[in-house]
Amino acid sequence: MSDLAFNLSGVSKTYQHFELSDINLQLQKGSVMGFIGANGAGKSTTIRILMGLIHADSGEVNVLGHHMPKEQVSAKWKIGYASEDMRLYDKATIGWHMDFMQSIYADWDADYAKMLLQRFDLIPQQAIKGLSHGQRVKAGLLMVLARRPQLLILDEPTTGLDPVARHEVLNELMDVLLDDERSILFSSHNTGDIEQLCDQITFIDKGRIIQSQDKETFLDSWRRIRLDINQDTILPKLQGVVEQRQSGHQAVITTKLFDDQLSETYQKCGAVVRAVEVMTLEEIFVAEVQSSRQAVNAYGKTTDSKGAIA
Amino acid sequence: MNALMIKKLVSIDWYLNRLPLTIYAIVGLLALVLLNMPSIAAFYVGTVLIVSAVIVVGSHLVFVTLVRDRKSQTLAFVMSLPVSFMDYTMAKVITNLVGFLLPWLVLVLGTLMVIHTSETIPNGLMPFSVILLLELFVAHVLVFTVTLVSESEVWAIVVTTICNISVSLFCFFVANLVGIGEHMQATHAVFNGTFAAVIAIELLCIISLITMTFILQSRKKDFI
Repeated sequence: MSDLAFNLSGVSKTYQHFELSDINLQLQKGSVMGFIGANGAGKSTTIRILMGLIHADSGEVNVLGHHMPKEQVSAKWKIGYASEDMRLYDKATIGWHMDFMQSIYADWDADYAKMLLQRFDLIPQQAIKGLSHGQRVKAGLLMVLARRPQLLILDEPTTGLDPVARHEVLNELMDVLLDDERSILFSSHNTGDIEQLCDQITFIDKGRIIQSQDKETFLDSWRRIRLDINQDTILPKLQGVVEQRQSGHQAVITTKLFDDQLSETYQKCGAVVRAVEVMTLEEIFVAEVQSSRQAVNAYGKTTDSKGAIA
Repeated sequence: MNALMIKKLVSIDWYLNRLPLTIYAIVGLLALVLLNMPSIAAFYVGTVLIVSAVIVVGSHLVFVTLVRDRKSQTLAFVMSLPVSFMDYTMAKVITNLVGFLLPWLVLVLGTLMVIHTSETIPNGLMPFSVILLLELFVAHVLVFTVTLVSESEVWAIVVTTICNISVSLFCFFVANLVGIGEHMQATHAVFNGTFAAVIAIELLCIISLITMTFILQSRKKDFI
């Protein structure tokens, strides 16, 4: 039996003004993947392909051992899916939705659902129509979480939430993570949310996966190095350097392949290392996207995870 | 097909529309009472009421079960359930067929009963009435299948309007049809070959529209 929650292999989908190309993405069971991309990068399209809601033009999609979209019904019994643009029925109450879900899913955890009602401060008798955006999102998540699915696919669930509601939702998702068997794909353009929750990070831009690694590797390998240089200093072009800015006697290097030897290399060239700064996930994301776009513009091709032109 | 989930999806639509459907049923029953009253005025009011109720039920079903699913973004919720797009299609076809057929059958039976029992209305109107009432059903099937396949509110409105305008043209056409028109004022109903042919064409339209819907839906690659 596969230890992958899902596996996208060579998946492509072409629209008139957008192309999702050659997506290769895997998630180990029990892992939490943050799926980061700007608006229109292809996050939702990828997720919809995973859910069988969109058929890929080419490639293989396997979710929890089921081929998608052919076996989507079997797969969906085990998947909890919530997206930013998903709505419950306006006319019905939260309680009706809970009963409806319970009538479908044998694994529905009524006690957990009641606990979530309290934590999210929701009233079962309340109609969806009268709920705020935050309450609607929380009600939607309740329907997904109380099913205790093997795989949670959350497409920008925190978008548009106020800080308090976001905090509540993220806290609940943190609790979900205590279950080692559960896998989560969490898409967002909010890197702060991803950084809190996820152990795997995937960046997508313009329909291409530009990076996919575990979070620690990401954070450990990216650094911003500030150098003092003089006019004669010629900085070498090193592998992994995605940006090199010089202004007068100062230079700022952004690298995705940092190690201690890198500082020594610059020192040998006559530069003085003033600071080696740890980068936030947001800074890494922006740098990675810019670097990828520059590579595409310069060569018409993409870069691989090591920064080499493919 | 996924019978359990199709049943669940149909039950959602019935639950969410139970109030308007109950109101339409009451209007239909009221119309039947009027049709049975020994007054020409009551007959005309009853006829207009019941035909209107059937047309409104059809439009209501299309807009609340198909158009609103997309507009109010509940389709994503439905499609997150263990259903395929063909299950969704089947559920919507069942909802729209059954939801329309119930009041429509009352209309057909009520109309035939009134014509049969009334001393002032000639029985010769029966074939014409059946053809006309079946046309309402064909029109409803056309509207909901076009809406289902096109996923477009605009198309739903356009086809609904065309169908409603076409009712009077269709009446005119059938009333002037050789084999139908000349028997309309007869004291007994004449169910001849022309009648059978028109009914067969109408039924064929219904079957073709539904079959085409399933074929076109099965070829779709993007559902949301």
